[in-house]
Amino acid sequence: MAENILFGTSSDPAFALNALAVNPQVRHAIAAAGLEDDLVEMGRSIAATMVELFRDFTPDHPFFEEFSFISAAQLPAYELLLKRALGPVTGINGADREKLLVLPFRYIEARHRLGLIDDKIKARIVEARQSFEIQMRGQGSRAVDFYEPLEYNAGATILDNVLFGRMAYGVAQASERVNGVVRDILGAETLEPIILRKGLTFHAGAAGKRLSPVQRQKISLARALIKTPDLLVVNGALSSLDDRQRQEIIASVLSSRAGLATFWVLGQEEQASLFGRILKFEHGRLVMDTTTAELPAAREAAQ
Amino acid sequence: MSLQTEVELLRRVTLFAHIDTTKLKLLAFTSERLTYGEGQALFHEGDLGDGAYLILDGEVDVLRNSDSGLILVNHLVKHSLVGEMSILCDVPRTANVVATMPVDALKIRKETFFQLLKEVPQLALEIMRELARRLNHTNDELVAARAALKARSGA
Repeated sequence: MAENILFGTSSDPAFALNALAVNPQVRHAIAAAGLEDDLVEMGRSIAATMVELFRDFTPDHPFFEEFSFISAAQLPAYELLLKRALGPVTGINGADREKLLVLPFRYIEARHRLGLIDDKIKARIVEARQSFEIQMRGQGSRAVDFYEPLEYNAGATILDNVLFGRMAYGVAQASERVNGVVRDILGAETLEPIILRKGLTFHAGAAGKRLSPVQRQKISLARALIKTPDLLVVNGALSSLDDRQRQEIIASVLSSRAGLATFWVLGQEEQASLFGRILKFEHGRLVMDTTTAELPAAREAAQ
Repeated sequence: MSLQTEVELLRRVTLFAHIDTTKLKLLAFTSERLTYGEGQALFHEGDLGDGAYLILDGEVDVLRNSDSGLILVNHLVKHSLVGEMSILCDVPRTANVVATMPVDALKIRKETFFQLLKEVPQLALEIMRELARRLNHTNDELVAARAALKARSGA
């Protein structure tokens, strides 16, 4: 919703996702498009759903951070608010109105599927978007870098600048397919050095919070590899990857460590064939100690 | 299709038939809605099991790799749950699941599924029941297969 109104990027904290509900220009555009009551109504639906779904969970439950629009600390206040704010939305005023208005900005219909956005609201959102841009340009403000099809947007990622649209939510393997097409268009040779340089300046967040689990695990492994230790012990370090990716990485790590010792804890015996010596444990007991060459014989003996 | 519709569909799955609406809504809300084209795989044999899929619309083939190529082991229609074994037993996927027509699915992530199991003891009970039912079914098939084998070697 927020992106649909802003329709551009901004590094100004006044236009950050959490600040939009109190941003005067945004509020003005929403009011001008007659969207404010719609948003309060959306906020009320979102709050009711969050209270219904998450009220029984303990405040430290991971669901809050991952899924809830309302933090555990604020949930009781919203529960009380909902009991007060029963009537028509025009009767909700003051602090209650503000609190409900905050919620819909993070809402994505395709993802959250609460069925809150109909054609009328869509039209008003587009109207608010236009009124917002006119207002900002009129004020000569450069706080938002608006999306322009013929210009590079410095606040957006390289991929966003190429795509100039959102990857459809919920289309399986969409990002792999889109990335493939983008790579084909730009050519891997031209793109890779640029992306590598850009990627290295990316802020990974505290403890890599802005990275995916797969990215975090790969970086941890890279960190260990860059020290070229005499003995490398890898235990569950690639658990977020699927088997094929893991197998590829094991093979390339081993070939990069010729002459150095690598000890890898594997979940499956099939993956052991890349290693010189294989130790197999079952229920905490060593049941096999063999070399790759002797593995087939050892397997037969074990059976 | 909204969350409300998904809840109605979840209710048609045996496993979820007796779970209360709020918990089903939670299950739907914390799950991802995905669409697949014909021929696209939901997952491959050997992949890490990161979730179970509820087929909301469309049909899938369950295929296993063998020395003589892919073998069709099951065909599932809408309202089926697929891929739950791998997350329950924490083993890699034991089959390929491929859409045979456009498929609309709800992907229930492993973590969410286990969180929910902790919160909703009734769901754990339903799963035990379902697994026992399947074991029973497999036992019946085993008995039938052994009987057939006996009859053949006797003949």
